[in-house]
Amino acid sequence: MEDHICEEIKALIPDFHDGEIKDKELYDKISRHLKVCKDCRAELEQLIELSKIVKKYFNVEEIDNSYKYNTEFLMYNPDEIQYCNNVRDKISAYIDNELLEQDRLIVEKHLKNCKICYRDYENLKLTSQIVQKYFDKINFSEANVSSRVIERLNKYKTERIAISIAVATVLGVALFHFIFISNFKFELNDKSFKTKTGQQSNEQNPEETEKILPGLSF
Amino acid sequence: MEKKQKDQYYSMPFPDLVRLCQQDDQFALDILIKRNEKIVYNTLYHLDPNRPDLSDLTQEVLFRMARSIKKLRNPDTFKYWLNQIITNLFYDELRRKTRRLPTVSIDEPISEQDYASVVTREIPDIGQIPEESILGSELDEKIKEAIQKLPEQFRIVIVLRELQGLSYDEIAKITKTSIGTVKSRLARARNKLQEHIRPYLQ
Ligand SMILES: [Zn+2]
Ligand SMILES: [Zn+2]
Repeated sequence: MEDHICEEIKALIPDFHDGEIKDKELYDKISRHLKVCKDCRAELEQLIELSKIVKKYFNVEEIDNSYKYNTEFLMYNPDEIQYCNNVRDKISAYIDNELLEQDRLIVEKHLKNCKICYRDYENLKLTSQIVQKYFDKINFSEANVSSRVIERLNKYKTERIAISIAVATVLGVALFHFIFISNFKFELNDKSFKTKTGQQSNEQNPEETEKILPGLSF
Repeated sequence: MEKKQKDQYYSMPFPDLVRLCQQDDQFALDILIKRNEKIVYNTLYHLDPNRPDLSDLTQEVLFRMARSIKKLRNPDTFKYWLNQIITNLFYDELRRKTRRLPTVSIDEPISEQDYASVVTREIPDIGQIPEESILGSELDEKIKEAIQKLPEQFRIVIVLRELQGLSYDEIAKITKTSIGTVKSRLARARNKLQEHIRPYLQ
């Protein structure tokens, strides 16, 4: 009979350890059993040990050193259960200190009173820390990146200077052209105005333009 | 240069180092690049781990950073600014070349095959506590896999938060979403990662 209960409890211990038992009656049943059964307690402690090794490997600090897996700590607080769903959505942002002050206070108060959400908080924070440590361990072993970037930057700057000079030259030339060609166009306009009454077309004659342009070349 | 001053450059906060770069301090620029190359590579790697040219892209980001460092008006926003360069490159270059996966819900496995590999994976026997180092590298692999399995919009949020340490506001601007969206994506992504890590914490 006792063995049968132990089997049932042992199967639930991983979830219990992770704070995943959301049913109050079941939760209390496990808590009560753990108080009296050395065997099942040993099972829970083994999980805790493994979790500690993982934390040590990732060099993750304990979130709350005074926190001990004693059965008293794990008891439900019935008054707070109604707030659980509301708080659970906010735990992630609470970890990042990204909640509005009023929400932050609500979550903080609830975590002090609700052991289940506190476990959720602790697990999520641990996950976040483990992921951060994982990122930290990625290596990038490429050599001389900095000198290559700076070399490329210097080349880029030199090219830019060369381009600037070229652009300035082109602009200068264009400006020069513009001044002379506009003068020339005025002349042309005067000319066509004079011949307007005659048979000649108003359109510029390309040949005529070419005849005059060589005089403008420089 | 004096060794003491060199050390100073290595431990100087980024905004101060950026200000020196803006005054054409070549040594400061060298250190700024050196201090950021790993995190830039790391970010690109997790945004798209399958690209063969991650080193080149890292160099490209650092070049763009160096080229426009004088345009950074507020050096205090350096980290955010650098991540804009990274994500712009990611959106411009990387996505153009990779086949776009259909948007999937985070609750669904990405493919049947992926799903099978998740459910058939062995959960370590809790009866024997494994060697620390083996457990560690196994767990590293597991986390890497879990991050890669996240749909892109969730992966970016995890990378920008847990690797780059940006604020929700900065992440929202970079990903062109709202702070509320960042909040919920991050919470869901973390829960998803926790599911993968859980067997190792039991
Ligand atoms: Zn028992
Ligand atoms: Zn609660």
